Amino acid sequence: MLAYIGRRLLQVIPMLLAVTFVVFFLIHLAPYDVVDAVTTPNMSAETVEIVRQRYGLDQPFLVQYGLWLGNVLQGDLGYSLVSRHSIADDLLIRIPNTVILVAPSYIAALILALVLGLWAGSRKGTWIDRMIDGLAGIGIATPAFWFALLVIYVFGYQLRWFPIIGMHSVGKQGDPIDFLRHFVMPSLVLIVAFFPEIARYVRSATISQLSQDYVLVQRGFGASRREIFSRHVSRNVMLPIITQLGLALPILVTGAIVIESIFGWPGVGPYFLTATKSLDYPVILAVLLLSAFLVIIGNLIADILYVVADPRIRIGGRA
Amino acid sequence: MPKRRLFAPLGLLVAGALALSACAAGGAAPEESSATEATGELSYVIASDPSSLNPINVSDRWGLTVTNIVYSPLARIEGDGTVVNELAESIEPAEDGLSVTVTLKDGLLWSDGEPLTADDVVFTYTNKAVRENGNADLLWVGDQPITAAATDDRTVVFTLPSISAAALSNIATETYIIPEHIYGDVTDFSVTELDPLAVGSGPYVLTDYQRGQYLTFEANENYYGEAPNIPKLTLQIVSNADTVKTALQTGEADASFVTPDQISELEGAGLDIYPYAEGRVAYLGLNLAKITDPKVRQALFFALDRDEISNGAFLSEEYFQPAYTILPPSNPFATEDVEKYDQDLDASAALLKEAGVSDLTITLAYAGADPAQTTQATLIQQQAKAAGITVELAGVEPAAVYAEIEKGADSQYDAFLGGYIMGQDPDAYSLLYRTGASANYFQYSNSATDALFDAGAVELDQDARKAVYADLQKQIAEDAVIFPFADSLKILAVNPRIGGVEDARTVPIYTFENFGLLTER
Repeated sequence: MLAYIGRRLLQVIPMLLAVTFVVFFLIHLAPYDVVDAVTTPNMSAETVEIVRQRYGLDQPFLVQYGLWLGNVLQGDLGYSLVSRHSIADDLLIRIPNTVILVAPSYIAALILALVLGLWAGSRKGTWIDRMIDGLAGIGIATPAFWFALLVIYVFGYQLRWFPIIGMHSVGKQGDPIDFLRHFVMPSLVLIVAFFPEIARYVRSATISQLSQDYVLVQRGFGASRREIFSRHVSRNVMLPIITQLGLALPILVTGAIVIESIFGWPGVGPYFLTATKSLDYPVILAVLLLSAFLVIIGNLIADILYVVADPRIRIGGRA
Repeated sequence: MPKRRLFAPLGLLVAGALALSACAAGGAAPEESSATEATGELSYVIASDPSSLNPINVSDRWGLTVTNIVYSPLARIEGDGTVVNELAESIEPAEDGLSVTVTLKDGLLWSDGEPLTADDVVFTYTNKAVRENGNADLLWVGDQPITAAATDDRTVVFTLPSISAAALSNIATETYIIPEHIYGDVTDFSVTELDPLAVGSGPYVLTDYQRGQYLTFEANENYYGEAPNIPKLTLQIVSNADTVKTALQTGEADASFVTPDQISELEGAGLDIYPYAEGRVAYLGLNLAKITDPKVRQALFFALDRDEISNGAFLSEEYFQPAYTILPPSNPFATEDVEKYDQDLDASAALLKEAGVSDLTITLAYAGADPAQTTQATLIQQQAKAAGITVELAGVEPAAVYAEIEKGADSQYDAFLGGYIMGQDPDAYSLLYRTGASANYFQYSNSATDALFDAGAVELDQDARKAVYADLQKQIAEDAVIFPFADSLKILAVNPRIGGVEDARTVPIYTFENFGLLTER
């Protein structure tokens, strides 16, 4: 098991290198001059040249990439071209803000999806099933940003229940009630964005489990529907759901980019969007690197959880 | 009871979540819009973090807005060209035009209570004139920097390397004095934030900056001017325009810039709307390296209908002022005595025939995500078609437009849509139109124009200078380099509980000349 984890972690390295190289290369290919992001038309050509040299933008592509990579390996994500702020510092402020919004929303969506999915699957074909399935369909088809605007309009503007902007009111950091008032609307939007797909997954898994032979056998032994469902079916459905938890890891950082921007939530989302607009490539690279890292780690965790949850599965040929 | 084992924890969690949201909703319900009571706070929404908070090199809109709140310049140049003293008591240009003597007001203090002296002024200008620090160009004449020296505690003499008509404006404006006793040990002024951020001489002191969220300010007790009417000011950072609109409607925010299409809804919600000119020129620019024949360029311009384009793009005549030259209509040097290219399809056809061109096809680049430019582009396409000119549209990212157009003859684009704010002094526009200048996207080169720029830069007599720039505007209009549409106004929406907008003065870039003069009604 440990050897497996170690091997997987080693595989991560070339993948991350490839990801960063491709992103770096694509940004380099873009038909803009990155130095435009830091200069203004009022600056003379000399000043622009000084700026270009200061940020190493006059170096060839491979040299620039090498410099960046060398710094990252030393734990230095570099500085934003636009603000000259340490990206690591900025991310350390923003990632917790995002996690505090996304994690509870995702867990709530997961619970909601489990309850509704199991319920719908166990009542396949009834009006309950059709309603839940239809609801999930609507949820999947609804763009999150549109739903967010709708929520803002109804609860923020018409009813005036919740404030619209940010994570807390100015000067009320640490006030839990104030935080909750800001939290409710974006969280609601995220729950609605997250739950339908998981619910559909749970529903179809439930249906396929119920059609398995063991259910027939259990029935033959006279077990009640309730017993079969709670002892066997739900457990077999839960297993793959556990691995979903691992795969959800990147969502914690990049799962709410659009929603955060709409609500002015000070997380990774607005930071990343602003950086892409101004071609602030060190920031873009840092966020993409982090995201790629989480995807790979998330996959690894998912695989490990799977083994932990179901001891019948063995990895790497060793019994 | 296996079922309960599985479902009880889930049920508990769901119930907990519901209770939580119910509690949050309950806590929020009694909150009422505070339209009538004074809160002592003003919340202004800005679109993004300032790029720089260092007065030495700040050049972005929100950075300058914050700088103008926390620091003070020696003087300001108003929209009509008059000089209003701030820290300066008097500004005296010498007879020979080679120096300027500035006397500071008596008893000026920094927000930390230390006296503000001529040494601080010299310290600020000396560091700003260092090219490596990033914003020195206005303080250079030719290839030499303007130098400053203190003769006593309240007097600073600026020495010019050679005569420059723009020098007074360049010295006075947009240089915000920073305290030497705080930043004297700073070795690198090219950074975007000085440490500490908070000591200035403006109406407010910066008290807190939460990156990506807000900046808060409190009235500066040692401000030399009138104490701010509203003691607390917050600049809230929200990038989404729809969110801003709703926050204005609910009273969560007191003021912000809005777009023309949001106005009717905001007015319906009772907000006050203040459109004002920023001295911006929105234009159709041509790539002269590709359209070399002036007759062809003129023919294209005669095909266009300026009013229709501006009304389409800026929605109402209330929100723009038509522009006819390279200078914005509010500029004191702007003239209307130029070829305006009022739509004339016959003239257009005649010019094309004279140039021997038929089947003219032009590729026009514009910012595809900008609704105003998209409208302009489609109207241009339609109007040109009526004159027999084909315009192919290329809607791309704004940064890509300029990067591509700068390639000159190798560029894919023959024309592009743009806009610039270059300030009051006409010499600044030489960056756009002088042969080989850094922002000469048009690849325009005319020795007559260059000579006029040279003459204007050293002409100290105001009337003679106006005549030079009138000739200059005529020359560029005749060469058909850009087709100016209008100065599209900035539109400010303000909660009716806030007054004093006229006193605080809406100005280009900074929104308000002095936020401290706003009042709560």
